[in-house]
Amino acid sequence: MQSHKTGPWAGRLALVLGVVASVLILPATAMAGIEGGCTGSVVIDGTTYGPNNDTVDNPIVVPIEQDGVVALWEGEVPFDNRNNQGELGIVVGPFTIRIADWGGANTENDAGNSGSYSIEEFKDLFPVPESLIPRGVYQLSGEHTADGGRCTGTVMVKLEGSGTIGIATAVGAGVTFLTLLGAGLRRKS
Amino acid sequence: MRGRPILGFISGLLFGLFLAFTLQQFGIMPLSTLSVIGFPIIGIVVGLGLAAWAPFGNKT
Repeated sequence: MQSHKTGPWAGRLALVLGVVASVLILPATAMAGIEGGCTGSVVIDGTTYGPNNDTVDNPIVVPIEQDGVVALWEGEVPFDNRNNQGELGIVVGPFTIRIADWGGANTENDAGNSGSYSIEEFKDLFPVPESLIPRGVYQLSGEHTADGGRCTGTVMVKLEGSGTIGIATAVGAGVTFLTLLGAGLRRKS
Repeated sequence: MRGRPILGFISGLLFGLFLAFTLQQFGIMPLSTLSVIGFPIIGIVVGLGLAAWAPFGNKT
C-alpha cells in the first residue's frame, strides 16, 4: 500500500512559514521626537509637519514624483544660540550617515532661522533616473548644540511613490525565501 | 546535518537583507538595527535550523 506523504509536508511547510511570518509582525521601534526645547516645522505640498511626525504611521511625506514641490522650513531654539553647530543624518541600522551640517559664531545670537528647499534639488543629488531613487521610510536623526544648550531629535520621512527598487527587493526576498526553504531539503544519503 | 547548511546560511542572510530593504521601500519599517542586523541573523538561524531539521524530501 502506498503511503500518503502530502500531509506531513504541508504541516512542516506551514510551521516554517509561521516562523518567518512572525518576524514580519514585529512592531516598529518607538521614536522619540525632539528633546531639548527646540521647535521647528516644515510645510510640504500644503501640509505642515513638525516634531510629532516621528513614527512610520505619521511620517513627513515627500512627494518626489510631483514636479516643483518646495519645502518651507523654520526652526527656533530656546537658549543662547551663539557658537552653534549641528548635523543631520539618515539612520541605517546601528549607523547614522551624515547628510547635512551647519554651524557658526552667530554673534548676534539669532535664535531662529527659516528657508526653503526645492525637492528638485534633492532629486538632483541622485545620479540615477527618478524611478531609481529609493523610496520608502527613513529615520532622520539630528542634533543642534550652542553655548546655551543642546537639542537632539528624530523624525520619520517617507519618500512617496512607487519605485523600481522596491519591486526588485520584493522579488529578491521572494527568490531568497524559496532558496531558504531549499536548505530544508533532505540530502540523499 | 541532514539538509543544506551552507545554502541555509547564505539564503537566510540574503533573505533577511532583502526583507529589511523591502519593508523599508514599502514604508513599513525604516532601516533600524533590528531590520538591518536582526533580520539577517534571524534568517541565518532559520536557514541553519531548516538544514538541521530537513523537513522536506524523502526520508529514505
